[in-house]
Amino acid sequence: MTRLVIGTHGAVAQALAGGARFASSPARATVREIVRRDRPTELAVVALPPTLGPLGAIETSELERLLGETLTAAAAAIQTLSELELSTRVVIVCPTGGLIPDHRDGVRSLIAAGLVMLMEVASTLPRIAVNAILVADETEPTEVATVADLMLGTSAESINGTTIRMDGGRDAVLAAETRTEEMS
Amino acid sequence: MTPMRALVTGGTSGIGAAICRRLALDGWHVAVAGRSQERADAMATEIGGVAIVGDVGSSTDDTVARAAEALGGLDAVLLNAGVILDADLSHTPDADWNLLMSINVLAVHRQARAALPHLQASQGSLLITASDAGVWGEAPIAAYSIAKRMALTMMRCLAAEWGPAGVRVNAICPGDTAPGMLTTTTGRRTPGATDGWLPPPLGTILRGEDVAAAAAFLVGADAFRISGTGLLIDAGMRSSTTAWQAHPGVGR
Repeated sequence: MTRLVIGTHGAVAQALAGGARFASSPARATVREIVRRDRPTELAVVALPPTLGPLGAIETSELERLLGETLTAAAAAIQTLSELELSTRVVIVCPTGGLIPDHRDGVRSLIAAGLVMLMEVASTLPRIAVNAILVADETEPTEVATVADLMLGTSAESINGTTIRMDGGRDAVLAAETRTEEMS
Repeated sequence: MTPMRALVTGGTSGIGAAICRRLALDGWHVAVAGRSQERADAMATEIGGVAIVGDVGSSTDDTVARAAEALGGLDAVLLNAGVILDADLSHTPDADWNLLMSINVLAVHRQARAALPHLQASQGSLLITASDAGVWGEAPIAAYSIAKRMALTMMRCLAAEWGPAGVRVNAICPGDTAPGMLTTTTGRRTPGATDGWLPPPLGTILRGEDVAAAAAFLVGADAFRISGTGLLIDAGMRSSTTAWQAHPGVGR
């Protein structure tokens, strides 16, 4: 098994990489080069930049740059796997806003939403299984690595095109923490 | 009574043209935006509106500002311009990917930000044309599905962000509509052709007028408490995993 981890550097990326190769937010051409060279059977894409604030506040040019470093890079990696006809399991790790957005964290929510749909459409490609893990900032990196290991492994091959949200139930209902406090 | 003022991008063909016609019918003064001077002029003449020619994909595009100036303000901005590519992810060239993201995501972001002061002044609304593919993706239009999911997320974020300023933000999510998108990259060689389209449960391919009715509702006064909504107009296609097999006469 050859694992490759690409994306934003941080505790989650370190936990996922272990002794595997890690490439930090590479450009599209570099991503393709790395994938062709390493021919991974396991690919983890980590897109966990620090919070970037609301969408209305960011310049479009900056948004374009961030998309290039995250969504475009992830798409290029998966395209290269497909081009090489590799049998690879892929996991994408991104913020929870990819399912239910948080407008205060709108930029990351937008990027994560794109990554989730990327996962969904890529899961239909032959030989490639793609899943997503959506994490909160406070999610324990070792927990993420445990779930990623399951998704990247071959013991659960039917897991494809799915999303696991790891936020302790925070987004299960509207303002879950507040409501729980009110009821106690 | 002063007419309401709307800008419709991508207003010279397909769904956009139908929206322009419907809004004009409802009494709106409409700025028709598109890349073609000839088509924009023709539509503006037809509906008694004004033509705005520009390329929304350009980082220096000032379509919103020119429309606001021409109409004396904006009560609704309908960001409808879009581009589609018929290809799965593995057959999506970089140039097409870049174009889809540029028009379907980044231009929407740029124009929405440009529209905010005008909509805040009028307590108006923003309407983004997303897609049913953004609600539930389609592998044969992979990059388009990704971009439209992002357009929906942008709509939801901006609805929460700009609601306190009195600006409503919504989206329409059309299913297969004919005549469809005129602006395509590669793959869809005959714009408007419906060959091979799967029938939705209601059994008919949508018309631009069907989508325009929903758009007119969402920017109109009757929707004044509606914000953060992505309205599916797909004749039931996203109601079930096998909705395309529901109509009589289709093999199951």
